[in-house]
Amino acid sequence: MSSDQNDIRNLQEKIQAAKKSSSPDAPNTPKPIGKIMKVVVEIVAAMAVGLGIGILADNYFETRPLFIIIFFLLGSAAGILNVFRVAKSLQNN
Amino acid sequence: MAADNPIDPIHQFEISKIAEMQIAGVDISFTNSSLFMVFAIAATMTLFMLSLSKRSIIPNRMQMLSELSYNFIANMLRDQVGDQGRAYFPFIFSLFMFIFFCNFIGLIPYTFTVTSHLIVTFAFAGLIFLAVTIIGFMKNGLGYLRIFYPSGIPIFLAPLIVPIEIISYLSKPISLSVRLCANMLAGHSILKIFAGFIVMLGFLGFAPLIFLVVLYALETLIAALQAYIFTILTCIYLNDALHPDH
Repeated sequence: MSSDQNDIRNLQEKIQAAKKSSSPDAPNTPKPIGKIMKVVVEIVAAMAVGLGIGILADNYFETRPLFIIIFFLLGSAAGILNVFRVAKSLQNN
Repeated sequence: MAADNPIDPIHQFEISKIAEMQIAGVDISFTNSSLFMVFAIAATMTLFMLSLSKRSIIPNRMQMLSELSYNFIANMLRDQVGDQGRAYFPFIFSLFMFIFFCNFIGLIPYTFTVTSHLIVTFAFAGLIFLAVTIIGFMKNGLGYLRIFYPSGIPIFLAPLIVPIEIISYLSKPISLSVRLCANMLAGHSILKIFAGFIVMLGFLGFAPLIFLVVLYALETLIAALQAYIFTILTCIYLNDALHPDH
Protein backbone atom coordinates (compact mmCIF):
# COMPACT_ATOMS: atom_id res chain seq x y z
CA MET A 1 0.00 0.00 0.00
CA SER A 2 2.71 2.47 1.01
CA SER A 3 4.84 1.52 -1.99
CA ASP A 4 1.84 2.29 -4.21
CA GLN A 5 1.48 5.68 -2.61
CA ASN A 6 5.19 6.26 -3.07
CA ASP A 7 4.82 5.41 -6.75
CA ILE A 8 1.95 7.84 -7.10
CA ARG A 9 3.92 10.55 -5.35
CA ASN A 10 6.90 9.93 -7.64
CA LEU A 11 4.63 10.08 -10.66
CA GLN A 12 3.13 13.33 -9.40
CA GLU A 13 6.59 14.85 -9.03
CA LYS A 14 7.48 13.75 -12.54
CA ILE A 15 4.31 15.31 -13.94
CA GLN A 16 5.05 18.54 -12.09
CA ALA A 17 8.58 18.61 -13.49
CA ALA A 18 7.32 17.94 -17.00
CA LYS A 19 4.73 20.71 -16.67
CA LYS A 20 7.38 23.11 -15.46
CA SER A 21 9.71 22.34 -18.36
CA SER A 22 6.98 22.77 -20.97
CA SER A 23 5.63 26.04 -19.56
CA PRO A 24 6.49 29.08 -21.70
CA ASP A 25 8.57 30.89 -19.09
CA ALA A 26 10.99 28.00 -18.72
CA PRO A 27 14.50 29.21 -19.61
CA ASN A 28 15.28 28.29 -23.20
CA THR A 29 18.70 26.88 -23.90
CA PRO A 30 20.83 29.77 -25.16
CA LYS A 31 22.11 29.47 -28.72
CA PRO A 32 24.65 32.31 -29.02
CA ILE A 33 26.36 31.15 -32.24
CA GLY A 34 23.13 30.88 -34.15
CA LYS A 35 21.82 34.18 -32.82
CA ILE A 36 24.92 36.13 -33.85
CA MET A 37 24.87 34.55 -37.30
CA LYS A 38 21.19 35.46 -37.55
CA VAL A 39 21.81 39.14 -36.83
CA VAL A 40 24.55 39.47 -39.46
CA VAL A 41 22.52 37.71 -42.15
CA GLU A 42 19.41 39.81 -41.42
CA ILE A 43 21.18 43.11 -42.21
CA VAL A 44 22.80 41.82 -45.39
CA ALA A 45 19.61 40.16 -46.66
CA ALA A 46 17.51 43.31 -46.20
CA MET A 47 20.16 45.46 -47.90
CA ALA A 48 20.34 43.00 -50.81
CA VAL A 49 16.56 43.07 -51.24
CA GLY A 50 16.55 46.88 -51.15
CA LEU A 51 19.36 47.06 -53.69
CA GLY A 52 17.64 44.48 -55.91
CA ILE A 53 14.35 46.42 -55.94
CA GLY A 54 16.29 49.62 -56.63
CA ILE A 55 18.14 48.14 -59.60
CA LEU A 56 14.94 46.65 -61.06
CA ALA A 57 13.06 49.95 -60.65
CA ASP A 58 15.92 51.91 -62.23
CA ASN A 59 16.14 49.55 -65.19
CA TYR A 60 12.39 49.86 -65.68
CA PHE A 61 12.11 53.66 -65.37
CA GLU A 62 15.66 54.38 -66.65
CA THR A 63 16.34 56.75 -63.76
CA ARG A 64 19.58 55.22 -62.49
CA PRO A 65 20.77 55.89 -59.79
CA LEU A 66 17.70 57.48 -58.15
CA PHE A 67 15.83 54.35 -57.01
CA ILE A 68 19.02 52.48 -56.09
CA ILE A 69 19.84 55.20 -53.55
CA ILE A 70 16.28 55.35 -52.17
CA PHE A 71 15.78 51.60 -51.86
CA PHE A 72 19.26 50.94 -50.55
CA LEU A 73 18.57 53.36 -47.71
CA LEU A 74 15.14 51.77 -47.12
CA GLY A 75 16.79 48.32 -47.20
CA SER A 76 19.35 49.40 -44.60
CA ALA A 77 16.52 50.68 -42.42
CA ALA A 78 14.72 47.34 -42.87
CA GLY A 79 17.94 45.56 -41.85
CA ILE A 80 18.15 47.60 -38.66
CA LEU A 81 14.47 46.84 -38.05
CA ASN A 82 15.16 43.10 -38.47
CA VAL A 83 18.08 43.27 -36.03
CA PHE A 84 15.92 45.22 -33.59
CA ARG A 85 13.28 42.47 -33.73
CA VAL A 86 15.87 39.73 -33.22
CA ALA A 87 17.30 41.61 -30.25
CA LYS A 88 13.79 41.97 -28.82
CA SER A 89 13.13 38.23 -29.15
CA LEU A 90 16.50 37.56 -27.49
CA GLN A 91 15.53 39.77 -24.59
CA ASN A 92 12.23 37.93 -24.17
CA ASN A 93 14.13 34.67 -23.88
CA MET B 1 42.58 22.99 -62.80
CA ALA B 2 41.03 21.50 -59.68
CA ALA B 3 42.16 18.01 -60.56
CA ASP B 4 45.83 19.14 -60.65
CA ASN B 5 45.83 20.17 -57.01
CA PRO B 6 45.30 17.34 -54.52
CA ILE B 7 44.47 19.80 -51.73
CA ASP B 8 41.45 21.68 -53.02
CA PRO B 9 38.91 22.72 -50.38
CA ILE B 10 36.30 23.71 -53.00
CA HIS B 11 36.35 20.43 -54.90
CA GLN B 12 33.88 18.85 -52.45
CA PHE B 13 31.14 21.24 -53.60
CA GLU B 14 31.39 20.36 -57.30
CA ILE B 15 28.26 19.05 -58.98
CA SER B 16 28.76 16.09 -61.29
CA LYS B 17 26.12 14.51 -63.47
CA ILE B 18 25.42 10.85 -62.83
CA ALA B 19 22.70 10.31 -65.41
CA GLU B 20 22.05 12.95 -68.06
CA MET B 21 18.42 13.82 -68.69
CA GLN B 22 16.71 16.58 -70.64
CA ILE B 23 13.05 17.44 -70.93
CA ALA B 24 12.10 20.13 -73.47
CA GLY B 25 15.60 21.58 -73.42
CA VAL B 26 15.67 21.86 -69.61
CA ASP B 27 18.56 20.04 -67.99
CA ILE B 28 17.14 17.81 -65.24
CA SER B 29 20.14 15.46 -64.97
CA PHE B 30 20.44 13.25 -61.92
CA THR B 31 23.48 14.72 -60.14
CA ASN B 32 25.48 13.81 -57.06
CA SER B 33 23.38 16.44 -55.28
CA SER B 34 20.20 14.55 -56.20
CA LEU B 35 21.83 11.30 -55.12
CA PHE B 36 22.58 12.60 -51.63
CA MET B 37 19.07 14.03 -51.34
CA VAL B 38 17.83 10.50 -52.04
CA PHE B 39 20.25 9.23 -49.38
CA ALA B 40 18.87 11.72 -46.84
CA ILE B 41 15.29 10.62 -47.55
CA ALA B 42 16.32 6.95 -47.44
CA ALA B 43 18.09 7.48 -44.11
CA THR B 44 15.03 9.19 -42.61
CA MET B 45 12.69 6.48 -43.83
CA THR B 46 15.00 3.67 -42.70
CA LEU B 47 15.28 5.20 -39.24
CA PHE B 48 11.54 5.48 -38.79
CA MET B 49 10.59 2.20 -40.45
CA LEU B 50 13.13 0.19 -38.48
CA SER B 51 12.52 1.90 -35.16
CA LEU B 52 8.73 1.85 -35.39
CA SER B 53 8.30 -1.62 -36.90
CA LYS B 54 8.08 -3.22 -33.44
CA ARG B 55 6.11 -0.69 -31.46
CA SER B 56 6.29 -1.59 -27.80
CA ILE B 57 4.96 0.19 -24.73
CA ILE B 58 8.43 0.18 -23.25
CA PRO B 59 10.43 1.57 -26.15
CA ASN B 60 13.90 0.42 -27.07
CA ARG B 61 16.60 2.93 -27.95
CA MET B 62 15.74 3.29 -31.62
CA GLN B 63 12.07 3.80 -30.84
CA MET B 64 13.02 6.36 -28.20
CA LEU B 65 15.06 8.21 -30.83
CA SER B 66 12.20 8.54 -33.27
CA GLU B 67 9.69 9.37 -30.54
CA LEU B 68 12.02 12.04 -29.14
CA SER B 69 12.45 13.65 -32.54
CA TYR B 70 8.66 13.60 -33.01
CA ASN B 71 8.11 15.20 -29.60
CA PHE B 72 10.86 17.75 -30.23
CA ILE B 73 9.19 19.07 -33.39
CA ALA B 74 5.67 18.76 -31.97
CA ASN B 75 6.66 20.83 -28.92
CA MET B 76 8.45 23.41 -31.06
CA LEU B 77 5.39 23.79 -33.25
CA ARG B 78 3.06 24.06 -30.24
CA ASP B 79 5.28 26.64 -28.50
CA GLN B 80 5.74 28.79 -31.58
CA VAL B 81 2.44 28.50 -33.42
CA GLY B 82 -0.06 27.05 -30.96
CA ASP B 83 -2.78 24.51 -31.63
CA GLN B 84 -3.52 25.91 -35.09
CA GLY B 85 -0.09 24.81 -36.22
CA ARG B 86 -0.89 21.14 -35.79
CA ALA B 87 -2.12 20.89 -39.39
CA TYR B 88 1.36 21.81 -40.63
CA PHE B 89 3.21 19.26 -38.51
CA PRO B 90 3.90 16.73 -41.33
CA PHE B 91 5.57 19.41 -43.44
CA ILE B 92 7.64 20.88 -40.60
CA PHE B 93 8.72 17.43 -39.44
CA SER B 94 9.74 16.29 -42.94
CA LEU B 95 11.60 19.57 -43.43
CA PHE B 96 13.54 19.18 -40.21
CA MET B 97 14.45 15.54 -40.80
CA PHE B 98 15.53 16.20 -44.39
CA ILE B 99 17.80 19.13 -43.54
CA PHE B 100 19.11 17.34 -40.45
CA PHE B 101 20.11 14.27 -42.45
CA CYS B 102 21.49 16.32 -45.36
CA ASN B 103 23.73 18.19 -42.91
CA PHE B 104 24.83 15.04 -41.12
CA ILE B 105 25.46 12.93 -44.22
CA GLY B 106 27.63 15.79 -45.46
CA LEU B 107 29.89 15.38 -42.40
CA ILE B 108 30.93 11.89 -43.52
CA PRO B 109 34.14 12.04 -45.60
CA TYR B 110 33.75 11.63 -49.40
CA THR B 111 30.11 12.68 -49.31
CA PHE B 112 28.39 15.71 -50.76
CA THR B 113 26.58 18.33 -48.66
CA VAL B 114 23.30 19.16 -50.37
CA THR B 115 22.61 22.15 -48.12
CA SER B 116 25.93 23.82 -48.99
CA HIS B 117 24.43 25.00 -52.29
CA LEU B 118 22.52 28.26 -52.10
CA ILE B 119 20.06 27.27 -54.81
CA VAL B 120 18.91 24.24 -52.80
CA THR B 121 18.35 26.17 -49.59
CA PHE B 122 16.82 29.07 -51.51
CA ALA B 123 14.39 26.70 -53.21
CA PHE B 124 13.31 25.56 -49.74
CA ALA B 125 13.11 29.05 -48.29
CA GLY B 126 11.34 30.46 -51.34
CA LEU B 127 8.78 27.67 -51.26
CA ILE B 128 8.19 28.22 -47.53
CA PHE B 129 7.90 31.97 -48.08
CA LEU B 130 5.32 31.51 -50.87
CA ALA B 131 3.38 28.94 -48.87
CA VAL B 132 3.35 31.12 -45.75
CA THR B 133 2.21 34.16 -47.74
CA ILE B 134 -0.60 32.16 -49.37
CA ILE B 135 -1.63 30.72 -45.98
CA GLY B 136 -1.61 34.23 -44.53
CA PHE B 137 -3.96 35.54 -47.23
CA MET B 138 -6.17 32.44 -47.02
CA LYS B 139 -6.60 32.70 -43.24
CA ASN B 140 -6.87 36.49 -42.93
CA GLY B 141 -8.01 37.65 -46.35
CA LEU B 142 -6.80 41.11 -47.29
CA GLY B 143 -6.44 41.86 -43.57
CA TYR B 144 -3.09 40.10 -43.84
CA LEU B 145 -1.75 43.27 -45.47
CA ARG B 146 -1.84 45.03 -42.10
CA ILE B 147 1.42 43.29 -41.14
CA PHE B 148 3.01 45.96 -43.36
CA TYR B 149 1.43 48.75 -41.31
CA PRO B 150 1.86 48.14 -37.58
CA SER B 151 -0.83 49.68 -35.39
CA GLY B 152 -0.05 52.87 -33.53
CA ILE B 153 1.95 54.47 -36.33
CA PRO B 154 0.88 57.98 -37.40
CA ILE B 155 -0.49 58.12 -40.94
CA PHE B 156 2.13 60.58 -42.21
CA LEU B 157 4.86 58.03 -41.45
CA ALA B 158 3.14 55.34 -43.54
CA PRO B 159 5.00 56.14 -46.82
CA LEU B 160 8.24 55.49 -44.96
CA ILE B 161 7.24 52.56 -42.76
CA VAL B 162 5.32 50.50 -45.34
CA PRO B 163 8.24 50.13 -47.84
CA ILE B 164 10.58 49.30 -44.97
CA GLU B 165 8.20 46.63 -43.69
CA ILE B 166 7.77 45.20 -47.20
CA ILE B 167 11.55 44.99 -47.70
CA SER B 168 11.88 43.43 -44.26
CA TYR B 169 9.24 40.85 -45.24
CA LEU B 170 10.89 40.11 -48.60
CA SER B 171 14.27 39.65 -46.94
CA LYS B 172 13.00 36.68 -44.91
CA PRO B 173 13.59 33.92 -47.51
CA ILE B 174 17.02 35.36 -48.37
CA SER B 175 18.23 35.48 -44.78
CA LEU B 176 16.75 32.02 -44.14
CA SER B 177 18.51 30.39 -47.09
CA VAL B 178 21.80 32.29 -46.87
CA ARG B 179 22.17 31.43 -43.19
CA LEU B 180 21.91 27.67 -43.72
CA CYS B 181 24.02 27.66 -46.88
CA ALA B 182 26.76 29.93 -45.52
CA ASN B 183 27.11 27.89 -42.36
CA MET B 184 27.47 24.62 -44.22
CA LEU B 185 29.76 26.07 -46.91
CA ALA B 186 32.06 27.84 -44.46
CA GLY B 187 32.21 24.92 -42.04
CA HIS B 188 33.06 22.35 -44.68
CA SER B 189 35.64 24.61 -46.34
CA ILE B 190 37.38 25.19 -43.00
CA LEU B 191 37.43 21.46 -42.29
CA LYS B 192 39.04 20.78 -45.68
CA ILE B 193 41.55 23.63 -45.31
CA PHE B 194 42.73 22.39 -41.92
CA ALA B 195 42.87 18.83 -43.25
CA GLY B 196 45.16 20.22 -45.97
CA PHE B 197 47.41 21.80 -43.32
CA ILE B 198 47.91 18.39 -41.71
CA VAL B 199 49.26 16.98 -44.99
CA MET B 200 51.42 20.00 -45.76
CA LEU B 201 53.03 20.25 -42.30
CA GLY B 202 54.18 16.63 -42.27
CA PHE B 203 55.33 15.66 -38.78
CA LEU B 204 54.12 18.96 -37.29
CA GLY B 205 50.68 18.16 -38.64
CA PHE B 206 49.52 16.86 -35.27
CA ALA B 207 48.76 20.45 -34.17
CA PRO B 208 46.10 21.12 -36.84
CA LEU B 209 44.91 17.52 -36.35
CA ILE B 210 43.99 18.27 -32.73
CA PHE B 211 42.31 21.45 -33.85
CA LEU B 212 40.47 19.56 -36.58
CA VAL B 213 38.99 17.12 -34.07
CA VAL B 214 37.65 20.03 -32.02
CA LEU B 215 36.39 21.74 -35.16
CA TYR B 216 34.64 18.58 -36.27
CA ALA B 217 32.74 18.45 -32.99
CA LEU B 218 31.73 22.08 -33.55
CA GLU B 219 30.59 21.26 -37.08
CA THR B 220 28.44 18.43 -35.73
CA LEU B 221 26.81 20.93 -33.38
CA ILE B 222 26.30 23.41 -36.21
CA ALA B 223 24.77 20.75 -38.47
CA ALA B 224 22.09 20.05 -35.86
CA LEU B 225 21.76 23.71 -34.85
CA GLN B 226 21.20 24.96 -38.39
CA ALA B 227 18.52 22.35 -39.05
CA TYR B 228 16.88 23.50 -35.80
CA ILE B 229 17.15 27.21 -36.69
CA PHE B 230 15.76 26.67 -40.18
CA THR B 231 12.79 24.79 -38.75
CA ILE B 232 12.08 27.16 -35.87
CA LEU B 233 12.18 30.18 -38.22
CA THR B 234 9.71 28.40 -40.50
CA CYS B 235 7.48 27.98 -37.44
CA ILE B 236 7.86 31.68 -36.57
CA TYR B 237 6.94 32.75 -40.12
CA LEU B 238 3.96 30.40 -40.00
CA ASN B 239 2.90 31.97 -36.71
CA ASP B 240 3.14 35.46 -38.26
CA ALA B 241 0.90 34.28 -41.09
CA LEU B 242 -1.69 32.70 -38.78
CA HIS B 243 -1.69 35.49 -36.17
CA PRO B 244 -0.69 38.73 -37.95
CA ASP B 245 -1.73 40.92 -35.00
CA HIS B 246 1.13 39.84 -32.75
